[in-house]
Amino acid sequence: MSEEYSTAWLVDVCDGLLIAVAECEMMAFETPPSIRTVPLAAPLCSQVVFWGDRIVPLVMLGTMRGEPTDSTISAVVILAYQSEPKVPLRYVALAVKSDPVKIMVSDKQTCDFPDNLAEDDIWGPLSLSVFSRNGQPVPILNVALLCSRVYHDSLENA
Amino acid sequence: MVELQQTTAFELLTFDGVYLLLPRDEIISAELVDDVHPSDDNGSRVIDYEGEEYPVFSLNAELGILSDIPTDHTACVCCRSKTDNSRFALSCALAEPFFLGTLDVLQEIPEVMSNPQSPVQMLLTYTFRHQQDLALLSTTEKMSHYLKSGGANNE
Repeated sequence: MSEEYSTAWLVDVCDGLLIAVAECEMMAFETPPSIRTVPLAAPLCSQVVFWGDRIVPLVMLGTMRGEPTDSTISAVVILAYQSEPKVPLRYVALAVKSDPVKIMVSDKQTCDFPDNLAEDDIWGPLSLSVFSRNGQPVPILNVALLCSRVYHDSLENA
Repeated sequence: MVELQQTTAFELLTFDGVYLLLPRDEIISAELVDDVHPSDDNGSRVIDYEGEEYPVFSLNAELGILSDIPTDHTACVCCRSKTDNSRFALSCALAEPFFLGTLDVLQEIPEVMSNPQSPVQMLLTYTFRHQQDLALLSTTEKMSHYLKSGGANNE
């Protein structure tokens, strides 16, 4: 049986920690991004990025993992997602440390969730699945969940 | 309830780097901040317009309520809600009419950013001197409720 490959983008969301997003979710790579703060917005997502005529919420997974909030954001990727089927696309900006890299992923690369990440408040629920690349586990990001109020409420109330 | 999506005429208030848009049909008057005076009742800051006192508030970039009016604030915009008739005045550095263009698109606050305590209802890309910036949209009713509850200082 032939090996099935899918295309994905690999992004570095905080120092050395790589995640993958589906090829169809990646809309743009913006550097440097034009960022503004929205006063009184939810604490874990209080900034937006201008992307063309759109105002896109900015999520910093690094900050959610304990990086200082004032760490410089030199680049973002713009991701598209649907909160549920048959609704219009929504967009989110994700702060990244370097250019995203396009990769091919085989079904055979699927691996178990590493114990240390499975218990992580952020990676556990946010990973659709995990694959192995160069011996390193890479979670596939659940973008819709990342952008849901329910998920952020759970983090803020933790 | 005032529907911001159907509003095209706003008053643009500028203060501390913030661009705040309020529906123009809820703006009663723009007065000079020099006319602000202590209330006879409790000494809080008010401004008079047509025989009525409007409590005066000043906000910073985080929309926190300031104890003093910043020195660069020259205007005081009197607002009255069409919904609940509540009234207040906001001091600002600049107040001017703002009309949505055909290409302007109001955007809801993204769900992931929403905060029920915030008076900010929508966002708009605002181009000022050829530079993109962010304008915040609210209604007089939401802003009045926010100010009366003590603003962000009370959270």
